[in-house]
Amino acid sequence: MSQAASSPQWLPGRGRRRFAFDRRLGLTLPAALFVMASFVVPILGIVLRSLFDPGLTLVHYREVLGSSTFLPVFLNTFRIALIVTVITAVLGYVLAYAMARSRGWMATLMLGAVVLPLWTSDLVRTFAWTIVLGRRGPLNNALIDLGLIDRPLSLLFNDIAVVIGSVHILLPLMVLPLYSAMRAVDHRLVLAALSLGASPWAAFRDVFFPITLPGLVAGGVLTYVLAVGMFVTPAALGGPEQTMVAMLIESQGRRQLDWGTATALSTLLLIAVIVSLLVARGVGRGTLVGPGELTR
Amino acid sequence: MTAPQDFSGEPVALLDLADVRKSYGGTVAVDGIDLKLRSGEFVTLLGPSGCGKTTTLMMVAGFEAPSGGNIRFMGNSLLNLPAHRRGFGMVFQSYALFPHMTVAENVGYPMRMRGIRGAARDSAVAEALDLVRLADFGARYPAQLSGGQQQRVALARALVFRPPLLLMDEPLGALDKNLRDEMQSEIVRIQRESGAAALYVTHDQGEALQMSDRVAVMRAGRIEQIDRPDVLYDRPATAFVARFLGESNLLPFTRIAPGQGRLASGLVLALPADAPEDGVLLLRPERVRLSAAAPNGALGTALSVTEIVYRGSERLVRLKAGALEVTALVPNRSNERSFETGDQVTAWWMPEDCAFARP
Ligand SMILES: Nc1ncnc2c1ncn2[C@@H]1O[C@H](COP(=O)(O)OP(=O)(O)OP(=O)(O)O)[C@@H](O)[C@H]1O
Ligand SMILES: [Mg+2]
Repeated sequence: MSQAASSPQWLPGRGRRRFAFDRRLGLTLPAALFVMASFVVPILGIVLRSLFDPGLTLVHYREVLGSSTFLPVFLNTFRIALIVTVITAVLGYVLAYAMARSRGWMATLMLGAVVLPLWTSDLVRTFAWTIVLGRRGPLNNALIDLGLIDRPLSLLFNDIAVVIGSVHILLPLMVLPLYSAMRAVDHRLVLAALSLGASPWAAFRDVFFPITLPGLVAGGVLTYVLAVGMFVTPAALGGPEQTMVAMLIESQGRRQLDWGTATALSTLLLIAVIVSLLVARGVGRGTLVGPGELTR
Repeated sequence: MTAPQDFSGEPVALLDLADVRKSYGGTVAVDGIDLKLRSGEFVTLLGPSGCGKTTTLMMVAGFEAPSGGNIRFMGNSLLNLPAHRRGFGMVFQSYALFPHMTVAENVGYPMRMRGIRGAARDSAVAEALDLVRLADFGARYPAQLSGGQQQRVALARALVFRPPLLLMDEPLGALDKNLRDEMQSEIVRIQRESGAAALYVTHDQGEALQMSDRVAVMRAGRIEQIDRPDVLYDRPATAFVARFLGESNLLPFTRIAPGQGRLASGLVLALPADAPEDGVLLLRPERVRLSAAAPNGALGTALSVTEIVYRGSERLVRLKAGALEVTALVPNRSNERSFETGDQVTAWWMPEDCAFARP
C-alpha cells in the first residue's frame, strides 16, 4: 500500500486539489452576481419602494386596493391574457404541428415566417393592425366588397382588436417551444401506437399530444406572462374598457409621478401572476399533465 | 371478402409477399421480394445495411405502401388495410415504449384500443408481463428500466393482444453482447409460447442462425436465398450468402477434368465427383483439417502456415501456397499437435465438406 500513499504524480490535479473548490466558485460567482444585479435587485427595489414612504407603510396598497379602478382593470387584464393564451395555444399547436410535419424548403419557409415578426418592433406590428382593422381598412373594405356586410364593422378599440393584436405578437413565442418539442418526438412512438391498434386520432391523443404537452405548457406560460404585461397593444388597439394593469402603472408612474402607487401595482401584478401560475400547475398536475416525469 | 383458397392444394400461407417492390423517387429500396410465412414460423430477414430489410418490414406493418406487388395475410390483400387495423405485433429497435405511461399502461394500451377494460385487461397485462418475466414491474415508468427490461416490455406489449404475427426490427441492436445472447433465446421462447409467427430483421448472422426456422438473406433489395439456417450455412447458393453467414474459404475454379479443378491461382485441386463445370468452392474453416498427410479418401493440398491467431476455444490458422490462401479453424484440444508459423502441413477435407456456390 506504500504506492498509494506516495500520491502518484501521474494522477491529474492531485497536488492542487485544495484549489478545485475555489476555482469552481470563481467561475459561477460572476454569473450569480450578474443574475442578482440584473434581475433580483430591481424587483426587490420595486417591492421595497412600494412598502416605504419614507417609513414602512401599507398606504400605497390601501390606496390601490381601495380605488374603484383597481379590481376591474386587474380582472380585465387576466381575462384578456387568458383569452389570448388559449387562442394562441390552439393556433400555435396547429401551426407548430404543420411545421413539424413538413420537410425541406417548406419547413424552412414556415419557420422563417414565424421567426421574422420577432425581428420587427411590436409597435410597428400593432399600428399595422390599427390600419388593417380600421373603419376604412382593408379588412372592412374586403368584407363590404364581398357583400358580407353593409356598413363597416367597428373592429378597433375593443376586446377583439386587443386579442387579435396580442395573439399576433405572441404567437411566435408559443410556436417555437412547441415546434422544438414536436421535432424531438420519436416518430416511432406514433407508429408503435398505430401498430397496437390505435387509430391515427387515438395515437395523437394518447401519445403525440401528451409528449408535446410540456412544450405547450412552456409556450403557454410564456404567452400568458407576456400577455398579462402587455402595454403597447392594448393601449393602441383597445378602448377605455380594455385598460390593462401595465397601462395603469404607466399612468401612475410616468404621468402622475406617483411611484408608490405604481410600484404597489407592479408588486400586486407580480403576486397575481405567480399565484395564477401556481394554481394552473396544481390543476394541471391532477388532470392534464399526468406523471411528474414530463413536467419536471 | 373471398375465402382463402389455393388450387394447388397447398395450405395458404399466413403471410405472402409476392413480387413486393418499393422505390423512393429514384432509389429502389426493395426490388421484388417473394416470401411466404407459415403459421408459427420464425423467419429472419438478414442482410447488410441498406439492403431493404426495414422497408420490407414497414410494408408488412402498413407504414409504407409498396410501389408494386402484393402482400396477403391469410389469403386477403393487405394493401388497402391501414396499419392500425392489421393487428400485427411490432417491436422496434428503440423499443418505442410510451414514456408517459407505466409499464402496465404500455402493455395494456393495445387492450384499451380494443375496448377491453377492467379485470379482463388487468389479467391480460399480468399474463403478458409474466411471459416476459417482469410481473413486478407494472408500476414503473420505462425510464426506470434497463435496456433489456424495456425490450421485454416492448415484447409483452406486442404480444398481449395475441397477434398471429410478430414483426421485429433489430430488437436487440441496442443491447450489449451478454444481454443479446440471453434475449435471443428469450425471444424464441416467448414467440414459441405465444404461438405467433415472427418476421425478424437483423444484420447479425449469428442471431439469424440461432433464432430462425428459416433465414432470408437479402442483398440490394432482393432475397438472395431463403432456407433453413443449416442449409444456408452448409450449402449457400452464392458466394455472397457464404460470406455473409460466417468465415469461409471461397475458391473460384474451373473444372478441367472429372474430379479436377483449376483455381484462379493456377493451382490444380482435386474436387468431389459432383462438382459443377465452374463455380466457387466453399470450405468452411472448421471443415479444413491439418496434419502431416491426408488420410485415404480425403481431398487436400500441401500448404505452409503463415499466421496463427489464438481465440481461446480454437486457433485460426492461415495457410498459403503461392497465390492460394486457406484459413483453418482448429479446436484447442490437448492431444492435438500444434503448429508453428512456417510449418509445412497438409490441409485436407472430405468430399462432403465441399459446397459449391455461384460467384
Ligand atoms: N424514406 C426514405 N426515402 C428515401 N430512401 C429511403 C427511405 N427509406 C429507406 N430508403 C433507402 O432504401 C434503402 C433500404 O433501406 P432500409 O432502411 O430498408 O435498409 P435496412 O436493410 O433496414 O438497413 P439497416 O440494416 O441499415 O437498417 C436504403 O438505401 C435507404 O437509403
Ligand atoms: Mg433497418
